[in-house]
Amino acid sequence: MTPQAKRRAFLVAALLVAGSALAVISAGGIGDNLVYYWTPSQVHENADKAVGATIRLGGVVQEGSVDWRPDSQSLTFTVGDGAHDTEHTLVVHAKSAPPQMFREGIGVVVEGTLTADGSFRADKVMVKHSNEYRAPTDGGDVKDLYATVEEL
Amino acid sequence: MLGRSAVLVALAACAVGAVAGIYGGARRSAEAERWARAMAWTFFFAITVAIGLMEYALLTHDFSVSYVAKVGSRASPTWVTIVSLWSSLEGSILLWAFVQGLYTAGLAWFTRRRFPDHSSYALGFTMAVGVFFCFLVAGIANPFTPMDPVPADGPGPNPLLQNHILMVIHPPSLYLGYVGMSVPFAMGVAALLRGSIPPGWSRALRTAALVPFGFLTAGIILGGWWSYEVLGWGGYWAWDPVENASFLPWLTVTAFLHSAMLMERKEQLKGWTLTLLMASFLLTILGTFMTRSGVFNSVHSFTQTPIGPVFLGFLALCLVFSVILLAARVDVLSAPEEGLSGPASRDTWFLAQNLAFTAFTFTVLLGTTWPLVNEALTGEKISVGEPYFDRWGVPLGLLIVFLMGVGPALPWGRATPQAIVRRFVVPAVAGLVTVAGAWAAGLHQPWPVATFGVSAFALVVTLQELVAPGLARWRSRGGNPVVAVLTGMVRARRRTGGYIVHLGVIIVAVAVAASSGWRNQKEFTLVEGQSLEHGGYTLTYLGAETVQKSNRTEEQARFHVARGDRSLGELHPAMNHYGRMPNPIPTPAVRSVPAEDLYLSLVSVDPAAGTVSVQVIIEPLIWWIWVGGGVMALGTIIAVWPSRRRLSAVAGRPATGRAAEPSTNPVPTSTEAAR
Amino acid sequence: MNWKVLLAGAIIVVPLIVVLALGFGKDPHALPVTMEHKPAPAFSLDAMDGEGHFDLAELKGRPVVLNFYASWCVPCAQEHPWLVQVSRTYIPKGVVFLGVLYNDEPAKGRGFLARYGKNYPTLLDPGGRVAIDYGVAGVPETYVIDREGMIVRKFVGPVTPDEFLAVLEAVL
Repeated sequence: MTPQAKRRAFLVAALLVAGSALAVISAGGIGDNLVYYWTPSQVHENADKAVGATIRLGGVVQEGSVDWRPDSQSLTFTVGDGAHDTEHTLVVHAKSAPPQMFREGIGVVVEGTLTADGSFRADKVMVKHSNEYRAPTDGGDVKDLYATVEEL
Repeated sequence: MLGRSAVLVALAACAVGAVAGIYGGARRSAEAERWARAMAWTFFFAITVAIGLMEYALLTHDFSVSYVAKVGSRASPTWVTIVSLWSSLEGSILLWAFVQGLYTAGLAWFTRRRFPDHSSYALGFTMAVGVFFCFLVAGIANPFTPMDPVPADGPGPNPLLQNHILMVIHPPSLYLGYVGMSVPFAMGVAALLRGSIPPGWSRALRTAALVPFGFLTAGIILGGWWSYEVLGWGGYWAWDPVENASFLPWLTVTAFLHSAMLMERKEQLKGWTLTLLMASFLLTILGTFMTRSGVFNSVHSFTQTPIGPVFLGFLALCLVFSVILLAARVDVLSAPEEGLSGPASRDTWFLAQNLAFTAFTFTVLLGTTWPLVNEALTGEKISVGEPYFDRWGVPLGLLIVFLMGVGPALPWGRATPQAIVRRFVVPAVAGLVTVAGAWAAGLHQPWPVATFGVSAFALVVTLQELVAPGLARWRSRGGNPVVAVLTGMVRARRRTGGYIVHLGVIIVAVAVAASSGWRNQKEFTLVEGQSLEHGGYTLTYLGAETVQKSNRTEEQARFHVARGDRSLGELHPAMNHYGRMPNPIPTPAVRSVPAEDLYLSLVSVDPAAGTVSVQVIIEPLIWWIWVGGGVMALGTIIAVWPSRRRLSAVAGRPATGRAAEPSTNPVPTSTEAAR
Repeated sequence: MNWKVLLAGAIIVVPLIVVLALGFGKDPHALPVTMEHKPAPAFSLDAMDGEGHFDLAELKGRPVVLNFYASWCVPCAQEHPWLVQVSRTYIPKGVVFLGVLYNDEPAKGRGFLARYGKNYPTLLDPGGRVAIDYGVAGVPETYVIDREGMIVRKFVGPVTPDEFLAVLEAVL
């Protein structure tokens, strides 16, 4: 091979490596790491792919369902689509204290996975002061804050 | 009214300047270029007046101005009032336009007696970008709309943004980075249209890109720091779309800074280098679009604004323009005289560095836009989780640190095998010893330990390279070795700056690996007087108290911290209640020392029952991330700083004005172009 | 013209623009299921200053406008005078206008009404129970409920005048 041809071959090889790496990334990486934004009823609808996937579940804490044990740092409650939902509920287990505003009838966003027994294992429990499901964020919903002001 | 007029003057100046500059470039008309220059200064002064008026209105609480009514508040402390200029959309666009004016004036100043071939085009296109932002300020995002009726007081800016003093410097730093990218972009466009990149222009391009690189770096690190100090989840980087938005152009501009060296030295990869440069600018526009359009879901989520579609239009225009321009003109640039020098040369490894950065860019871009793709295809609402980014970001980051060690150790051109062995023995041994040492010390996490090893390797190479010129001088001339090394470093300022940036990257890499690899997090619920033990610390809950601040009520939980028998004082993580906002915001308390951070964030506090739930996080070496960021910024400043020798060369050169630039002389760096 | 470069550029750029464009019109924060076209959650609340007791069930057969507001909210103050004006036209036509004070004290609500106008009762919602049932995320939010007790339209933020009037005409 001439030096030019050699260099070209080298470049082509480099590009091929980079290209196939990208293909692997896009095919394998993203699909396994999706986070779904679902309500309890949507979890029921998508039961086939819900188990094991990361889900941000938005719903309302059902009345009389909260069980908080400080000694074992375990929290269990039931969420539904609305405040008085009997059809589409899910039992949530979390290993964390209830957040500040947490109470019955409040909107929450719970991040975690659906286990095989049909209950929801939460890594994060966040309160939304609303039963409307808003896509959650780590630091609190800045958009909500925009409505917040001091005394007129 | 006055403010609006100033903005309109700026818009008109920009428009005339853009036309004059581009016309002057195309026709090589000195007359048109003079116009462009005059307009650049007019633009700068008009927009300075506009932003001055806005600050004045904010400080005097003039609520007849719509933006003041939106973000101003008589109750806010003065620093919050000043900062509220960039706390909401209209003000930040105004700031943006002002920074654009600043850069335009800088470019006009820097090119005033040089680069007659390219400067007219460059000025024209910089102002063309300015036209867009002035248009936004004058029209859709007008902050000067008169209010009727005039409110007596305003709400004050978003409480999260009032929470920390870092908010004063983080956004302007990012803006200086974002906007600054338009200058090298315009200069690159000029080079393509002119069909030549003389060495002087190529050097100027690099410096012009270094300035926004420095600001972007600082902005990104400060953003991470802010998020760590304010948001209460103990992390600094969540692969949030807005974070990615600033990271993407940083990646491409870093790739550019390296391939530009190849372009400067060997006339190679011109088309590719210019592509990276243009991509950096386009990604800043994409980034702004992400932040401001409300299309993406993020911590910084802004509501959908009317400027979204306009911004998309601008982005599309820039993208199409850049692609067509590149395609049409790339073949005009002269071909390289020689090719790459084979696998064992620095050139080749620069190319590898470029590929790694490009792959990183694509990975992040794909993950960031995937939710939109997915929703368009399936209608399902999803986001891409952090594991995706971590899975690709960690190995790619490691690869980049590795390349930082390999590249500089190799000479330009061909190297003999003996030379290679000589250069690599010490660093490689250092790396292996580090890995073995870490493993023996009980650190058994593969990725972080690998990062330590590769970092040690790269660190030794970097230090070798830093002192190499001085040592060579000392060997040939003798004298004091320390003085010789320092002189060598000062003489080769660009090179020294570059390696100091590398040092900063290595520090950050080690700190990130350590803090994420050995992050120790646990949640506790305590009653008053109860203690907890975590990671060698003993925390005692002393009780809660309510503190009234001017803009919030803080519920502080008081913890006494001890390590063994040694008392370390108290920490007061708090729950902040802003006005009548339903959700309280936790504010963490951090005890930061170089070895590790102790981070307390409240989950809930109930003073009536005397209980508190708290998240206790221990993160080793995290403090060094901010230090590393500072080192990177310092390195950039050193690289950009005009050397005295070069400055005096300029001063001494007779002001003949239009003389063709000497292509062999060292050309002064373009600090002014960016300031 | 270098066609390879052009093609490579187009492959990256065109899909990007298309995807971003498609992202518009969709609020990433939006609820997949909204409250619209659903039965309005029941409420039974006392009005401020003894202006009566209101039960949604008893209001069946009449269109209802439910406006959540607070004295500390700037957009509420902006829309309020206009709402009062509209109510003067539509209350005679049979529409029931009700304000709901959200996360606020009655005294401050009174001050707000004195300043920005008053033409209909304000309900007190202790503990924000009704606001939670309605999914109020922030104020102002305005719900238009038709004669059958269904939510026809929900306005988040200040009402858009033209749309609001059109919806009112439709439920009359």
